[in-house]
Amino acid sequence: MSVHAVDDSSGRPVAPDRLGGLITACSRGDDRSFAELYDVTAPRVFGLVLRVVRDHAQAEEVTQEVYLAVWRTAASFDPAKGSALSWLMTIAHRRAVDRVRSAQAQTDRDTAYGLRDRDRDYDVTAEDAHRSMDAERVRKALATLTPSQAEAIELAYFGGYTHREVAALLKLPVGTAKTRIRDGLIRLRDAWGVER
Amino acid sequence: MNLLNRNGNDVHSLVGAYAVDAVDADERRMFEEHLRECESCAHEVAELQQTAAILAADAETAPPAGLRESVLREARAVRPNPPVVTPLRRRRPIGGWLLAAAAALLLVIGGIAWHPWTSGTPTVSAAQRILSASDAERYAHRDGSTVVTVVRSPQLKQAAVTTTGLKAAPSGMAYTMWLIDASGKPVDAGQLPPGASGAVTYVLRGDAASATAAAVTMEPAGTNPAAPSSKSIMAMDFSS
Ligand SMILES: [Zn+2]
Repeated sequence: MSVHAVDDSSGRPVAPDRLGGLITACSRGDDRSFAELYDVTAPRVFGLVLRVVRDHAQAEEVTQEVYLAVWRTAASFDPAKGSALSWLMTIAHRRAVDRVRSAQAQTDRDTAYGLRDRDRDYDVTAEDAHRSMDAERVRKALATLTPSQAEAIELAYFGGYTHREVAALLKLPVGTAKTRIRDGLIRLRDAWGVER
Repeated sequence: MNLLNRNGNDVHSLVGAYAVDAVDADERRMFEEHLRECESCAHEVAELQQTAAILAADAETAPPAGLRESVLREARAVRPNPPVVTPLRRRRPIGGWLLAAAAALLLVIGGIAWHPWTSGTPTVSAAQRILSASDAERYAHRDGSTVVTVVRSPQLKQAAVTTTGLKAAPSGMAYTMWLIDASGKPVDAGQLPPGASGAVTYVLRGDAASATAAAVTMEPAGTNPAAPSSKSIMAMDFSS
């Protein structure tokens, strides 16, 4: 499987080249392409950011930052280095994690969140969740991970925790969490046949 | 170079945690230095970031309706940055986007410089050569206890930045150097490692002899901005 974004209205996958083409058009100031890029990718960007920062208002702010960064730096996208979606989501994830780790966000964050009780089917956004076919496939693949790998990846990627924090949360020796994160990602990579 | 981190662990093993931003600022800096030298990790980071991007499908959520309009409105008011026109030998091809842009900077520790993009023994400091050049010009920017000085040698066509009391950049951000060319266009001169603070010295990338000024902006760490994304936080005019 290759990396696809999903057109939200139709559930029809958007070819990766199409996304790359939209980003290239953005670098030339084409705001219609930017609007299309937003329409095609916003559920995934906003969803990821929301999952990490948890707070709706902050998720909106970070999503806006992400798209502005994409618009400004579109010229730096290089298809030879990876897919357009990967470029976009890497920017989004980094910004979300930076936000959640900043002191302000830290105080707003529900630190008492019951990790132990946390259901892997997050339902915090169930009322407006917009899950695509892709999401189903992701869930199936996640289910093939060992529970400890899935837990470590979830805390790291969706929780925004460092591998040391993950180790502490799961009461693991320090080196163990990063190994689980890596092994889990490799398993997903192989399951999805991801190539650079 | 040293491939063991502070716990004596193999630095390659951070590749998964790095790909999902599950590293602290020190580890990020250390790993990004490593990435410049390790093709295998650079390749793996790119693949794992790609994998993580798919994972994000699990979180898909319809954004609030008003967000689209504010995103588009904001973008319309901003010109996209131009592409960086790079000299052919400027950088090694490396995978992933979040690698430090500092590849062509000389990192100077204790007066000894080393080329981060080559392994092996430290070289004689290029920074020291600039700082002690007979035609060295100094342009200082002061802000409280922070002093940032750009030292330029037209003969050597190089400049270095040297600081005292530099405050560490906010998490995820890095001081990014620019040389302003004769047409007024800022050209990326490299990025300080994200945690750089106190007294540090770096050699700027690019032709400092033809530059008219230097500027510093704050950019997301490890990015390769084509142009400053914000106003400069410091500027040193070479004509003054
Ligand atoms: Zn490596």
